[in-house]
Amino acid sequence: MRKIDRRTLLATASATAAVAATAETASAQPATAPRNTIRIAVSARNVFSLDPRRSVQNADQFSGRQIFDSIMDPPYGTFDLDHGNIVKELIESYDISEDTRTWTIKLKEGVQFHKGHGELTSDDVKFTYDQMMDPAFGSSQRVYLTDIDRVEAVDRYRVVFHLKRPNPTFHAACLISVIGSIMPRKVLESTTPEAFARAPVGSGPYEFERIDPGRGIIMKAFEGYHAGRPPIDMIESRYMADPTARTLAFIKGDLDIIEGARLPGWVAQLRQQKPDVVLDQTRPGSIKTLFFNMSRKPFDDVRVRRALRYGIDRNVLIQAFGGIAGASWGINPPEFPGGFTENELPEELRYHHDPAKAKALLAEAGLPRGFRFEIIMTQREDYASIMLMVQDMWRQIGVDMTIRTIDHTTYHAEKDKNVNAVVLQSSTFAPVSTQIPVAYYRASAAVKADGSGDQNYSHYGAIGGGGVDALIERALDEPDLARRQQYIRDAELKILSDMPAFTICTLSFVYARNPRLRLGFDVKAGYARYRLSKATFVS
Amino acid sequence: MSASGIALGAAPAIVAVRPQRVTLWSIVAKDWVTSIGVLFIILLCIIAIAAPWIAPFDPVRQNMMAMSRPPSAQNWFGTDRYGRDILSRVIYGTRPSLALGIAAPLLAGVFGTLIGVLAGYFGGWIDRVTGRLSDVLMAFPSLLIGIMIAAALGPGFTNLVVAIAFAFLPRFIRVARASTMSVRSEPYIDAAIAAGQTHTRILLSHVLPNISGPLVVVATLWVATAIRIEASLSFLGLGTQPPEPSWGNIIRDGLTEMLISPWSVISAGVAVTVCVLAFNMVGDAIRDLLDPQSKD
Amino acid sequence: MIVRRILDALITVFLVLTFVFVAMRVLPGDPAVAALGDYATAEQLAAFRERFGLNAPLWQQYVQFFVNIARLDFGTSLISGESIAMMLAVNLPYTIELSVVAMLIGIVIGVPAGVISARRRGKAADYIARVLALAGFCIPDFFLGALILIVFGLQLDMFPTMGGGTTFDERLYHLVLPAMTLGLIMAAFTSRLTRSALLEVLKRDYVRTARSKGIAEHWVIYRHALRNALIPVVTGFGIYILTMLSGSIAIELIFSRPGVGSMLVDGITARDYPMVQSGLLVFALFVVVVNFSMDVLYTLIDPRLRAGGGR
Repeated sequence: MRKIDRRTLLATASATAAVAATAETASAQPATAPRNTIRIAVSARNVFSLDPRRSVQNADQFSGRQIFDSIMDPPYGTFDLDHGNIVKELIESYDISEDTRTWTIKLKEGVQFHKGHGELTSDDVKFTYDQMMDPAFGSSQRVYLTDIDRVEAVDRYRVVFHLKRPNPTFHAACLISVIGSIMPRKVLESTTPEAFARAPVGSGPYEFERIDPGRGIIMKAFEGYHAGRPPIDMIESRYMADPTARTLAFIKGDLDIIEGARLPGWVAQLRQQKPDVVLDQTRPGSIKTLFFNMSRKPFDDVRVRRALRYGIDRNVLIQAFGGIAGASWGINPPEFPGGFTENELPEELRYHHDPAKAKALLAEAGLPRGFRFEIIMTQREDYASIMLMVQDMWRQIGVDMTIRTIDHTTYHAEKDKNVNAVVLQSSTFAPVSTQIPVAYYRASAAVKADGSGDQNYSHYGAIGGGGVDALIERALDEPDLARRQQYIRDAELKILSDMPAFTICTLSFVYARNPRLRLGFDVKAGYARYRLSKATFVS
Repeated sequence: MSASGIALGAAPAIVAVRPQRVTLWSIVAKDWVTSIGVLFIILLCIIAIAAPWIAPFDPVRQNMMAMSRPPSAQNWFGTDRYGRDILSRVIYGTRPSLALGIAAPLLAGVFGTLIGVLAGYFGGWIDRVTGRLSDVLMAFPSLLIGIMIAAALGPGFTNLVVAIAFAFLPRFIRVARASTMSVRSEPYIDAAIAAGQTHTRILLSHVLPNISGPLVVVATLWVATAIRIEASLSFLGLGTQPPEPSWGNIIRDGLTEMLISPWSVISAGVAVTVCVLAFNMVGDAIRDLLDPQSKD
Repeated sequence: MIVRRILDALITVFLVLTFVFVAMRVLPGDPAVAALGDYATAEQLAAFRERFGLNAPLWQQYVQFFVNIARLDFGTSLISGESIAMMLAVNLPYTIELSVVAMLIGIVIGVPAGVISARRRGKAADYIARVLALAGFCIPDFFLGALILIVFGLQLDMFPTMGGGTTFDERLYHLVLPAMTLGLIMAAFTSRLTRSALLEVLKRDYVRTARSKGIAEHWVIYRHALRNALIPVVTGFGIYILTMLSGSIAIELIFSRPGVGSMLVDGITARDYPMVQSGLLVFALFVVVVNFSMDVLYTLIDPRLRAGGGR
């Protein structure tokens, strides 16, 4: 939140860590000394929770990725889930049974928690998972762990995950970060979850130092990191919700990494101002899904939903974002294994922009002059700009949508109570074809007015949508990956025809980076956070 | 032009001025500066009413083929991030500003007069309570009260009118009360009471006509402030909601792209400034005509 | 005299607090759900309401509200869980330093400009000063702030455009643009006020007498006239300080400065009502304190009031 010059930065360094000597030498020759702090700005107002079990905010998870080691993770900068390439952060090896229902991991020996909290063992793994699975605990990760029957600590370093049904991609959902982040049992038992959320203890390359009101989360290199101390001494992760403020500070050189503003034209504008900027983009990035609430009139009518779909020009949306947005023809984007490409779909399910057809469908549904409705929408720039464009496109077919803008956190709380007629949801998924259908299109995931439901904002399956639930279940019971993908493709065709919701576009996460800061890998895909354990400054 | 900062919170220094005939012509003819102000206000009203015919484009229509363009022959003030024509947005932006600039002082005037007249006429505890409450409210800058009420009610035009009217209320109460009190002490009121006229009748036929002059002045003086507050609240996200354009939210949106094109910030900002200027000049002129003593 | 003013101020504080309480309970939305997020269970929501006393009858909440304020307990932010008293301790100094520096800029530019304007009444200098003052009087503070940001922060790249700094030098450096924005507007008010007050005084008998005695003009102005002219300037100042303070909300937004205004605006969009409540409280208390000190100051400068009592 503030401009930090070298002097303050060094003053902090000397005050907090035992690097007073380095600070003196560095301040003697400020021009050439290598920088030892990475300054980041993430897009959020405040720290919500640094506890991976409670975490809902990517801004927090960026710091969490530095503080916690995960059981495993895709190779950094990718979303490669191939067993041969997986990075085994906390484990030596893992083993999957023939029916894919039993996963055994063997922990590395001698992994230490921060601040002298001892060695990480199977007991900590079991405790972490048991708490996340406990309905009374209220973990935001519980929905992803429903496949687990029980977690068993066989010996000090060996843990077995017993699953209720086969799952060849169990690791993608449950063993990689953020869910795979292991916490020390002793600390969890001796502090409240609220306290842990603001003072986390992990075993990652950086240890949590404190939350500074002006400089955000301060982390310092963990000397006892099992894979070797990271080269950079400190990380400061600031919370700056305003994209303009982040961009300005970055252009002026006050920040090394900023979460980009996913606004039309932003990338081009930044490049123009700072031609040497490095843009780290994930593909496909977040999946933007637009839901029609089928419990509301006139969205219960399939003709209305199709009309609204025909009213949307996806090419305009994608063009507006200038290279960070992508198309998705089916429910799963084409980058996912099993995702449809345009040519694989029958003509009538490609939904090319067709305002005339949209109007005709509306007239057929008894709404020749269109209709009007009001929704609430978050002020976060990616959601807000997409909805602003959708609003304008729908106006062309006579549908008048009024948008009331509210805070991002409040939006998420409200939409989970079935208040909106149209819901925009943005989420990043591992490239596994079952994930999106399970989260968004299953009857059991239907949103409920009391907030206890899940993310099926259409009520699809609970209202209409016969057969899709059965296909999804069939896929989930199938140990063979190729056959799972085929069942999901069948379900997708039915969903596209019923149009309860659709993937409006994919939007890369963008981080702008100081060209002098090297990460040690290229960012191509993945969740919207990356590790800084190998980062260095070059001159 | 008067020198004191009347439109910013100081109570206008007018108490019980005898009504005078202030015609539009007498204002226009006052001096050339005022005439320009009047002409500009008339122009603004025409722009607001005729916006659909004057604006070259639909103010909310997007065009992704023409994002963030600098001024050109087609788009005189350029386009914004969504390819919307900034000139058209600024033209349509006169609507909420003027509507609110008129509605808020009017609403405050009606309720403030009612309360002030009752307090001034009957005196006693009603007077003490309203006096106390309006003193408290007077202490607050209007913008701050506007923010408080808008925060409680949520955004929207009606809420905005209520919020700003509430902020102005004590100023009207004060003037109405003081004027009523001075009229009340006139012998003809006592005569009317002695003649057995009802209070309602006295208030309507003797008091109200005699105090309307100062109240009209107060109302005109607050138009400029109302317009400014609307812009500020919209800028803070509490006023007119996007995509509907208002000068305040055009500037707010414009800040996100000022690196590339500052045109939307500049054109909407100049529009508010000039509009406030015009209303201030005319408001001052009306006051000078009604109350020559306040002239420097 | 002073005792009565203190009593008055206390009653005002009570009324203002009541006003804030009423305003905050009208805010729509369920603060519990807004705070706990997507996956909170019904039990957690109930526990939350219990903890923040949202289940109690309204009158109890009202009493509790006063008790908490008396104990300087402003609660915790619903969104971040931070103590609001702590947040205020961090943010308040930024708002105060912005206001104080802006006020100083306003006086340093505004008073001399007003004096020159009054002395050269009708001449070019007066004309220029008045036009500038009028412009400063009509331009919205947030627009001036945006212009200054674009020109000095971006085009010329002379000053920081965001944040508030931590060390003394840094804080001063970060203050330049925002304080200049508010200071220029303040200068416009001050110069108008000084000019008209001075012209008023110059008409008075004792000034004419002094002049007729052949006392040098600048001596007349500074020794006799300005001192008396300062009385209305000082009272008018109270209003302007408060106007500027409410302007600081938008300025903090433009320059991404920490401050009570940013807290308030953040709180409003997030429906973080303890935060909004505290933000409003702080501004309300500012208003009471400024008015109170202006009253006292007024009594001190103008001896006539000490005898007469009341304004």
